[in-house]
Amino acid sequence: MQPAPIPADEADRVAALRALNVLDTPPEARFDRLTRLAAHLFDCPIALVSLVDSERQWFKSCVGLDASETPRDISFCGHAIHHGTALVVPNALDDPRFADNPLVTAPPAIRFYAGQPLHSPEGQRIGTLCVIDRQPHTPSAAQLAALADLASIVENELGQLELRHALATSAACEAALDRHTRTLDTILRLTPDAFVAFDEHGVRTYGNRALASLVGGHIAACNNYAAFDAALAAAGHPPPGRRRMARNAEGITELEISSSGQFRVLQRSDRPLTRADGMPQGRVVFLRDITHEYEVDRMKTEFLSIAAHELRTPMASIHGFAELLLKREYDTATRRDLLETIYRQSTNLSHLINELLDIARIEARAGADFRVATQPLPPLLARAIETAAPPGQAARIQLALPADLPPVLVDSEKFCQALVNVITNALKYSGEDAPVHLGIAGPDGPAPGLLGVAVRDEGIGMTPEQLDRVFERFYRAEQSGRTPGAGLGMSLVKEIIDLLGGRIDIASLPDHGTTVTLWIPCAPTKAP
Amino acid sequence: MDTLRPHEGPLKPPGAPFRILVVEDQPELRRLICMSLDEPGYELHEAANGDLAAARIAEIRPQLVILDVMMPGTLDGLTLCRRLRADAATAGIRVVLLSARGQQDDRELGLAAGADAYLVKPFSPLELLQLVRRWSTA
Repeated sequence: MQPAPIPADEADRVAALRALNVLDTPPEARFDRLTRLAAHLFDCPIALVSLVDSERQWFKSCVGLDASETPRDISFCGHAIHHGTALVVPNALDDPRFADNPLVTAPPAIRFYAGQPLHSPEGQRIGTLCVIDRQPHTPSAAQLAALADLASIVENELGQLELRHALATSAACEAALDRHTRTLDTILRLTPDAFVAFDEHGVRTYGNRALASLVGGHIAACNNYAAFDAALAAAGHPPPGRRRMARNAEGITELEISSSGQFRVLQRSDRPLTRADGMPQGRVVFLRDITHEYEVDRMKTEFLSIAAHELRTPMASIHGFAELLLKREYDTATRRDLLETIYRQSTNLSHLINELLDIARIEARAGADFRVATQPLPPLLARAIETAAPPGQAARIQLALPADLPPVLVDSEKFCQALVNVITNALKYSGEDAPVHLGIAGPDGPAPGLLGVAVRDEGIGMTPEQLDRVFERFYRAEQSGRTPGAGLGMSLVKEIIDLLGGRIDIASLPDHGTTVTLWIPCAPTKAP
Repeated sequence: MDTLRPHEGPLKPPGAPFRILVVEDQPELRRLICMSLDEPGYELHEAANGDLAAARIAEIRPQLVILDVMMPGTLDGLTLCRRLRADAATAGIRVVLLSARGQQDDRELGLAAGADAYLVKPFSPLELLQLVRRWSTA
């Protein structure tokens, strides 16, 4: 027996067959009609649409044979696909290629075979339309011509199969693309960052919603890259007070622009778009608003610089006077005087360090370590008064509370710390005998659910300009140096009350005094 | 560092006293500097901010100004230093800048403003004295 030989272009041939996506699909009437017709035409019991796969022949349609595939090496069709026209074997017993083939020597006991090659749309021979009988036959030329015609019809049907598959694939691709586009569109609409795309000719093809709000309408309206780039360059300049960021490998630059009267610091990044084959396809410009990060950065630098100054100044006194005391001789009175200065300055320094650490701790934890609990207010006020009043000064603080106060929702320790700072200021910035009034603010708070704890003094008060800066770190309204303090107390109060979800109101009049109201969350009053 | 008694300094500079203006907003630091330079032959003057200092310089014509960099008021140390250098009448005055800022950038900024020396707080009073002695005896 001669096994079915393998064609030279086998790989392409098998690929073409598999691309039809027909292997192992269910039988279809449009093929079965043709095989029945072929069997009738040759008066044969068996007819097949046989497709020659790499290891087998598989039957898309099969009349008169109870099998769906056989091994390729014993197949007649494996031979037939080498032929330009039909392979005709009138009697297999007389043909040395097939005489001892198991399909001949055992059932189905083939004698006659005629197979017309089938071509894929690309022209690869992928199988046959064949007729088979257990008796020898000598087919007429007309029969063989009809077989060739039927084979062409089978080829058409196979081609349609591919077409249908291509259509289905394209519809699936389109649906996937549509879903992808919608997803991307939603993402781009939600992001606060701006994206603008230009094609390879510089024509704008896309701009998301954030673009106009970030750069302003007139820049967002530019419909080509050159105009867009020029308008952005004209509106922007490197942000002040920051070393200019060099255009780095990723093409990221920073610029400050003023749009609709508002200054923004933007980070800009340009990326080229390339097609799958590497050809340029335009570019995408990405803009991110980093104004907040920039501002935080600037404030950190400023804070560090001021903190360094505030820490080094008392340190300079301590270090300098200590050195003089060590290296020079002074009389007892001078020595005592210098030691007092050192003592006073080191006390200031340690207060300052404590306050800085308090602020840093509260900022770092952002309230995560607050133990907020519902509790009555009066014990908290008593505790704050006791802590804030220097010895013999407690009488200056006059407490007046209404009868039924709702419980408050605070971290007791942090709230007391804030209140102590406010009371200390009230005592510090008013006459030595002047009273400080501690009470509850009127019922109309800045928001429902807040209770106001008011601290009113009759002291020096503040000008509107001083009031504006009262929460600024290291800001001190009184700069003569007569009143100790670093200017961190009210910043700390603000941090704490903000984190408790409250508000601070300050009313002040120079020479008349200041009222600080700490609005803190209270438990809802029960309905009557 | 040498140990010095208040009046055991170098020989009194010959001729006219060496006039020094100490410009510092913190009264205690002003006192520290004056105590450090409490030597025969030095005539010490004080100013609490840049604006007052500018007026005092025009008035007393000091040979040396010890100048705090960060001061309240309209005239900070760096600006005053540049102004002294720009004016031929005051360009020869020695200037020591005193600053709480000790980064390399800050020093460079100070020296670029024309200062002869840049001391970072906390500074050594005796080191300051050494500097002043070198200039007053030169």
